[in-house]
Amino acid sequence: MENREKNHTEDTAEALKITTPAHEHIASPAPAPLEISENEEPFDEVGVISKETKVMGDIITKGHLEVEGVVMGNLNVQGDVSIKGEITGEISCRNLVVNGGNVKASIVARGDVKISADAVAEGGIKGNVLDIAGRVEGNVDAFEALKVGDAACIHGDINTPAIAVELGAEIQGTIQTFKK
Amino acid sequence: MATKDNFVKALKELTGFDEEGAAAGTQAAPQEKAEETPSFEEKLQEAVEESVEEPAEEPVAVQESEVAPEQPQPAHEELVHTDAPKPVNANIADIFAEKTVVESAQGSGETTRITANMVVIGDITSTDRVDIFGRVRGDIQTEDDIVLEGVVEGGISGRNMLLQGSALRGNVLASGDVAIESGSVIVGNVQAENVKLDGKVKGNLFVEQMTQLTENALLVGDVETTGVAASVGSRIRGNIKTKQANDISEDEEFILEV
Repeated sequence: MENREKNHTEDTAEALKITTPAHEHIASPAPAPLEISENEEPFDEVGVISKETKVMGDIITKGHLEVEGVVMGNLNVQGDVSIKGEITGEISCRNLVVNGGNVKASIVARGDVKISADAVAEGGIKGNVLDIAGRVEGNVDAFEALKVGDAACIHGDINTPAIAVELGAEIQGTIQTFKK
Repeated sequence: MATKDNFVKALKELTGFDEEGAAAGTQAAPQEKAEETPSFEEKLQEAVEESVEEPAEEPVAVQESEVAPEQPQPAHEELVHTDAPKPVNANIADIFAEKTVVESAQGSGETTRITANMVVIGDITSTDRVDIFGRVRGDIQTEDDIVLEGVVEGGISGRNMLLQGSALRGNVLASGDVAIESGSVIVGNVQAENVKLDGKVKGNLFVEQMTQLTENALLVGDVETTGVAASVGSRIRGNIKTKQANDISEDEEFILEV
C-alpha cells in the first residue's frame, strides 16, 4: 500500500519537477531554465503581463509575449514581443513591436523591430528590418533595412545596408551604410 | 444503579443501538434518514440547476452519505466564490455549489498570463487576475484571483484561487476561497476563507469558514477551521481544531455524574 502511494507520488513529482517530502527537509531542484532556440519555431502561445502587473525579474518563454505592465528584468523570448508598458533590462526576441511605452533596454531581435511614434527606446537596437517612428537613444544596427519616420528622433550611430529617412526625422550620430 | 441504567439507555437511544426497544428503535432511525435525504437532495438539485448555465461542468455526483458531493469543476474563466460569511450550520453543499462569476473589481480587468512554456524568475505583483501555466520562481501577489496550473516556487497571495494540476512550494494566502484539485501539490500553509481540497497539502490549513476534503485529498498538517467535511478516501494526518472549541472548559463539559 505504501509502495503504491510512493510510486504515485513519484510520478506526480517527476511531472511537476518538485519533490513531495517524506521528511521535514524538502529538496527541490531548481527549475530547469528554458532553452531558447533561435532556429526553432516559437510555440503558439502568448504570455501576457497585464497593465496593472509588475514583474521584478526575468522572463523566458518559448512562445510570444505581450508586456502591458512593468517588467524590471530581461526578456528572452523565442517568439515575438509586443510592448505597451515599461521594461528595463535586455530584450532578446524574434520580432519586436513597441507600441507606446518606455523601453530602457538593449534590444537584440532576430527579426524585425518596429518602434511606434509615442515610444521611447533607450539602449541599442539590433534587428533585421527596423521601422523607427519614435525616440531612440543608442546605436541602431539593421541587418537588412532601416526606415526612419518623420516624428522619429535617433541619438546614436546607425549601421545599415539600406536606409530611408522621412522628411522631419531627427538624427544625431553617424550613419554608415554598407553593402550586405 | 437506576441513574446508570437511565444513562446507558439514553446513550443507546441516541446512538440507535436500543436493544430493548429494538423494533421501534431501528425502524425509527432509518425512517428519519429517509425523510432527511430527499430534502438534502432537493437542496442539491436546486444548487445544481443554478450552476447548470455554466459551461464545462461535470455532473454532480450525489453520495449517500451526508457529506457534500463532488462539485462541478469551474471553467478557467469562472472561479468559485462564495457569498459573505454563512452561518456555520449551513449546508456544505450549498456553500460550494453556489457560484457567482466574479469580475475583477480592481485593475484593468485583464489577465496576466504566464503560458506553459514560460519561466519567470522574479516576483510578480499585480491587481489583475493571474493565470499561471508555466513556472515561476518567486512570489506572486495580486488583489484578484489566481489560477495556477504550473509550478511556483514561492508564495502566492490573492483573492480566490484555483490550483489544477499544479505544484506550489510556498504559502498560500487567500482573502477568498481556495480550491485545490486532485493532481495539485502544495508544500506550505494555506490560509483562506473556504478551502476545498482534492489534492495534496503538506502544511497547515487556516480556514475561516469551511474546509472540505474530498476523496483524493491528502493532508499532512493541522487544520484550524470553523467546519470540516471529509469524504471517504480523504487522508488526513494532523490535528483538527474547530474555532468553536477555542474556549472550552473540559471540567464543565465532561461531567461524568448525571
